[in-house]
Amino acid sequence: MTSVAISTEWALTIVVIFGLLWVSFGWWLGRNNKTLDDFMLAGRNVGFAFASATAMATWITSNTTLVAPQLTYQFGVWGMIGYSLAALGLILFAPMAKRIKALMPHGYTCGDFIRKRYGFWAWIIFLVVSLCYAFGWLVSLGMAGGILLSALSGLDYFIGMSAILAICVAYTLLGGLKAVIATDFVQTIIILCGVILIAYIGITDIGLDVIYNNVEDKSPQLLNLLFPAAIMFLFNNIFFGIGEIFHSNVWWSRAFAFKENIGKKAFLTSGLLWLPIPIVTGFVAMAAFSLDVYPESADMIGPLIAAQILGKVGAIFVFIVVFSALASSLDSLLAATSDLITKDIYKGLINKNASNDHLFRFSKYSILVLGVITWLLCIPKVATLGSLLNFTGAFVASTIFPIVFGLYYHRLNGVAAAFAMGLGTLCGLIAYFVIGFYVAALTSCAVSLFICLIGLAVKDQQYNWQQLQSEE
Amino acid sequence: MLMSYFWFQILVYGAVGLAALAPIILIALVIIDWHKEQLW
Repeated sequence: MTSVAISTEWALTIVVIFGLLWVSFGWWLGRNNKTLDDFMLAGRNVGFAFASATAMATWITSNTTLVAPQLTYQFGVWGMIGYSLAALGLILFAPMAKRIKALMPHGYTCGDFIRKRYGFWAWIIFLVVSLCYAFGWLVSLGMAGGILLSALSGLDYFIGMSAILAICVAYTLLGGLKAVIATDFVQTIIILCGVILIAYIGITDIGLDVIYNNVEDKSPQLLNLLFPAAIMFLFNNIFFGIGEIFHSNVWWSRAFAFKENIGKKAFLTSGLLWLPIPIVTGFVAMAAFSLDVYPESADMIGPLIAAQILGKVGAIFVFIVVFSALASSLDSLLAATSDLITKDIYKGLINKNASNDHLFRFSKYSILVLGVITWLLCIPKVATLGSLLNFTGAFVASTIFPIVFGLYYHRLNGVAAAFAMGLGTLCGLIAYFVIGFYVAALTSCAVSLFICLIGLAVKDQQYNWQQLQSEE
Repeated sequence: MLMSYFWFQILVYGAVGLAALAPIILIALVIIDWHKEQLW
């Protein structure tokens, strides 16, 4: 780290003010939540504007503001282009959201779909994959909170991480998905204005030509269009992004929550609006060579450069932007993972006769417990954000084809889907440790596809789509 | 093969321009939904 940009007092003041704001907003929005549908799925009645904003805000995570610059710093232009192609996940999920709502108008989670479509064992494997990813992302976000406060204000990592987690748990607990979606809209506007301002000042104060020339002189491989690891990362990130969205209950719960005929256009709009954001946040990292900023840890490069460009007042602004980005994803993930625990694990495995009122209360406890577990996992700061996130790529990419075939093609059976997810994840993890993080998702996805194709060739399940609606 | 300054400019300016449109579009959509009473 080069220097601390704002004082610890300022950082704490911002956290307290925004914390109170989000928690009060969450309480106000959640005061009319009476049923499980209200709490988990915002009454299944979210309009186009909020639908687009929440999809976009959730996909603009701390990783977009911290990891996109980190990857640009490591992989150059392919790093930021590769990250921006994660928008394909949102764009390709658009028609799937329509299909999901049509097939399961009363569904709650992606686990519901896997259980009804593929049976018990595929469902169990899917839950393991999904929860590993959810905790990987939750920990990555919690760690990002601590890293942000530490990088910008010198505040102890433990205190910063704890504060951000506590705030997000509080307003998600009070307001449910409605609070998550409404705060997402406000947070999206703050994030977008912030990243555009930082990019604009970076271009006008330093100059795009100066940034380019310094990169060309000091680290030309970042402009190399044939940088092998970077190209591999680009393809890996496409499949990782698609896998993250296709399998995660964060996105499925939104597909269930949006009004009829809203899902497709909302996801398409959010994907197109999200596409340029990693390039805007990422290219700023290239200014490191012009400003002589050399961070201790690569994932601090974005906030440090932004603070350097904007000065002390600007650093406060940067702090608010990244804090909003963290909250917009953390709240969504807490709500969606709690849904999965409540509906799939608790109702599906432990208490099959639980009423919706009982589940309503249980889901609130599960948000609290999830927050505590995440906090415990974040205490030992074990990995950089990028490597932790890419580790989960091995898990999620294995689910892409079982989900796509499961939604659109009656032929794939549960055994093939279970093997595709299990072996795909295993091979992805082997590739992660033997070759590198940039091939984990790619390997996992390829193995999973191969097994799905074998399954399709060997047996025709002739699945009846009506079964997806039968148990609700 | 290095990316030329021309393409670097196109990439960065294009992304910043598109990103600048996003908050305007989102606020306009909310105003429209709010007028139609279709926010929720």
